[in-house]
Amino acid sequence: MRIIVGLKQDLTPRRAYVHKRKGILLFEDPTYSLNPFDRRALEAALQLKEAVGGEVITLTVGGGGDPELVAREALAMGADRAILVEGVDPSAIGIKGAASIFRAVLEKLGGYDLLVFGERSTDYAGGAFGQYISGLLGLPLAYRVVKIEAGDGDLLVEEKIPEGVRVVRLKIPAVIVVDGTAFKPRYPSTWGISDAFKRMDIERYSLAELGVKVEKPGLRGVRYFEPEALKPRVERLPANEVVRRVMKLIGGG
Amino acid sequence: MPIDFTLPPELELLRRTVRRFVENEILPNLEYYDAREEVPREDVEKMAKLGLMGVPIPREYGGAGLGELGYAIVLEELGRISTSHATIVGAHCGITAVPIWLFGTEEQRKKYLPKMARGEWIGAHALTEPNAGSDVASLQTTAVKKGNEYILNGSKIFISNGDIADIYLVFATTNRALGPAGMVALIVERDMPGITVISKHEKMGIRASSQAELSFDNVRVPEENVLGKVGQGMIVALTALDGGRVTLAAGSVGATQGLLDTMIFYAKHTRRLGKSLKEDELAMWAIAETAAELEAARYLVYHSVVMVDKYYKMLAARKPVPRSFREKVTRMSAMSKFFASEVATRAADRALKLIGEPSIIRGLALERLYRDSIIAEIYEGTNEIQRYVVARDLLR
Repeated sequence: MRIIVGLKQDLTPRRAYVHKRKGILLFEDPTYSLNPFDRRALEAALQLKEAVGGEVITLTVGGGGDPELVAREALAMGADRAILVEGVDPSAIGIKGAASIFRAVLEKLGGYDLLVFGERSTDYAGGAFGQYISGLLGLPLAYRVVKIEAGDGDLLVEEKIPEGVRVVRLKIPAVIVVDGTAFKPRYPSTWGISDAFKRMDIERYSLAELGVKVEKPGLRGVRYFEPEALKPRVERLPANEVVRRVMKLIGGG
Repeated sequence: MPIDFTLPPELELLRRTVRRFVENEILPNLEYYDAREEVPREDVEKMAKLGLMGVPIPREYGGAGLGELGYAIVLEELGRISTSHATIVGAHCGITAVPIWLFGTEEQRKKYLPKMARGEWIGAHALTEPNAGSDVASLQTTAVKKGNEYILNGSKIFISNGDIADIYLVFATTNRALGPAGMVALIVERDMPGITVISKHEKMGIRASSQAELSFDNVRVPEENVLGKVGQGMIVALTALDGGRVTLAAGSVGATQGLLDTMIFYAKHTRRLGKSLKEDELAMWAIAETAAELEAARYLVYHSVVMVDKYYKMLAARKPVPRSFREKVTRMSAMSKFFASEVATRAADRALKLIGEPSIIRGLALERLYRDSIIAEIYEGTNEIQRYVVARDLLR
């Protein structure tokens, strides 16, 4: 089975704040790393490959930061190939632009069985890429997947839904968005890290090589502002009411 | 040498990975093992699976081949949370597996290193005795040649990993009259008859690692288990400790980082006498001084580690090492060890005074970090010995 996993580099700033006058969002001293939700997507793909054979190819689009480290981490975890599309900042091109790049790379690869994505990103909290791609390519979609089993030309997949779990049969090629709590990711071993840097190569493409013209994003941030700070207040309540509210807060009762 | 203070990207990924691993897998159970004074065998297995037991061992012998700098970064990240775990890995890898790589025959390397690098066999470095610690030349354990075997008799004390090890690197004297020139290093396997783990020690610190007393009663060690040459035991021990001390110092750098992070977090979230500790001069001074000492220690240690890496690669390739370089490595290693360990204990002292009451409560980490910090001033040669080594070399 040929599994393609989308991996995004997320940014973690030392401090994020809104510039009051200009209304823009600023990040101070950011570090870049693999989106932890995407790490779960890669784990799901690796487990499926270990069960049925095949190959796992990761795809990262990245301009600034350190997208190469994301690709190397994927190789260190056990991906067979890592593809990097350079020279374009995914946060600037939006979901539409990134999807057009994704499609172009898929055409270059010629054939795949499964596309796997993480539930959302941690920086801009985007969480629609898998769904968008499935619409764009006309592929069936399983969302917030917690379990994947290979069948005969299809996959038996468990989706997390508000009521519990729904088991669906998914015809391949298909798109899977992995649940943000499932598939605890493996750590790249020191041998894996050594291999990823010393024995394996990243496949790189530029936009020109892919022949993609990235469209302007349909959605654009206009102005940022900070919400008013919440004012703390003190309430005096009987004990049973306190217990009821605490239970509600922690999701019990 | 070009001065570029950025880490190679593979070591940056290694650092992030180990940090995430330690926080998720080791930290949650740490107070439990500390309270019970028990070696966390589940953690040892997890560390082995991650490949932390053979970081500097070359790929051809089953290690990760990430060099002494990679190994130091692993110990730094372990030390940030748990000196016990850094001790387990350090005793196993740095001062037991590494000397087998440096001085071993091809047969010894192939027999021991792959299993040690995978953590299937745990190693322990058995040098210290009741009457010979930092003074390694006064060993009383004897190895008497009989036919093609050495008969080992004596006892060792404070042996890290002593009770969980499968392989001991034992230092003994073949002839006490020869002094250091009579010393031999032997690779001793745990299942050789006559080895007893007499006791474990109850300790104030590094309680999630074990230090044990060993006894050897007519243990028959085959001649092919001599590491290096007979009479070279002292060189094997001191060479292993050159790297051991530097990477131990890396653990102290990590511990200091952990203490500094704690102090910063506390100062940001605490108010005293109506104002934030962020604006309290005593807190600011403690944090600024710790941060400065931490940076100084880190660069001293990294610099020394890079030198040890070069030194070890020359030794492993059996290339001649100029005496002046060897002595410089020993000096740098000694400086790193006493400086970094004292930076860590000073940081622990400052953190305790800054944070006050909560810092002496069991289970709130700081109390453990304080107890754990002391040992680095003592083991692998006390800081007094390290100062002596440095001064003696400079005053020649």
